[in-house]
Amino acid sequence: MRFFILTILIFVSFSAASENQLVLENGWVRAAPPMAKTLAGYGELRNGSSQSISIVSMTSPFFKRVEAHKTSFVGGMMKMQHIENMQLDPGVVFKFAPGGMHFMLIKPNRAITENLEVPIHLTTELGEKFTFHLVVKK
Amino acid sequence: MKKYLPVLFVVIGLAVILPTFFMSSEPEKLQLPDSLKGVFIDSPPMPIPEFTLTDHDNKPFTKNNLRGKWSLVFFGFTNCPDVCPVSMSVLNKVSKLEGIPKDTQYIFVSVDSKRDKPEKLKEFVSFFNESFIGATGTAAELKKFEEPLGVIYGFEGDTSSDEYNVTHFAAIYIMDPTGNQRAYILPPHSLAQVGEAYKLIYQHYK
Repeated sequence: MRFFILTILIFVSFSAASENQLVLENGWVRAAPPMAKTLAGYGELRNGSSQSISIVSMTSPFFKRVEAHKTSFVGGMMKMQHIENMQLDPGVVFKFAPGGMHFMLIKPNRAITENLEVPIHLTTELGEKFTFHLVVKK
Repeated sequence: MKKYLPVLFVVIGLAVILPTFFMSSEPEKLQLPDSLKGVFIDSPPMPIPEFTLTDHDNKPFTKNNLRGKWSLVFFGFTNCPDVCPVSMSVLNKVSKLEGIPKDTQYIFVSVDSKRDKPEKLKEFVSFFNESFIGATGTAAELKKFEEPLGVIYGFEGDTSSDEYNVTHFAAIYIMDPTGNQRAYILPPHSLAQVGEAYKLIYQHYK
């Protein structure tokens, strides 16, 4: 019995550590008019593990597609670049903030109203899945 | 009566000439504090030719709509999720600041008229402020308004689908009551930058 409990404890602590490898803090989505076909999500994505993490896919049950994009201004010209390979080295924090990197949430399949929590699922190259919730706010 | 005629001519002459003289006089160029970055003043104002766009109520929106009031104009597209909402929300906050003329017009011009039909524009602008104006037009009409302002834009991706992206010059333009460009403010926009710049420019050139 003791062995069984110990095994469970080890398993629980291991999975907790694994879940903390990738953390999204202060996740939010900018509220948009009901007609909006694309919305932007923000937050700080942190790799708390000792390994590099490559994100190979991003999805959300509320959107057709989720992509990482980066806005840049070149002499007042606004450009958006799709970031296809997102690799976070150990300890690195990607700041997704207005006017910079953002989660591009494409084609909502439901109303995205204020205070709604939008789940996004990130899958790493090793097949690990992380789910984060981004709160819709103005 | 005849002896008063020359006096009458002089009075009428002055009444015609004096306002023209004062209207054409350009004040000394406003020097903005160094803390205000990305704000460029046109002295004298940059002339804008006549143009005809369509507003969010499907009515013509022409240069005449710019005359008689100060206007803040921003070019973008409604599918823009990151930059345009920030600038629009800054404009909404500017409209509520003390010292900002209450009859200022806030105009969003979509460069993506294929997707941004008037009803969509209306929903977009009113999300930020019910009194904001949305306008768009054919590429040829947009060009008349945008070219002198230096607004460059382009489409990326498959424009026959509805998922293409628009790259665009994202400045906010300050138009004076003659309907000409008095200044422009480069992005990224903040309330402090746009609010302060507009206040100073309005006070100096009103």
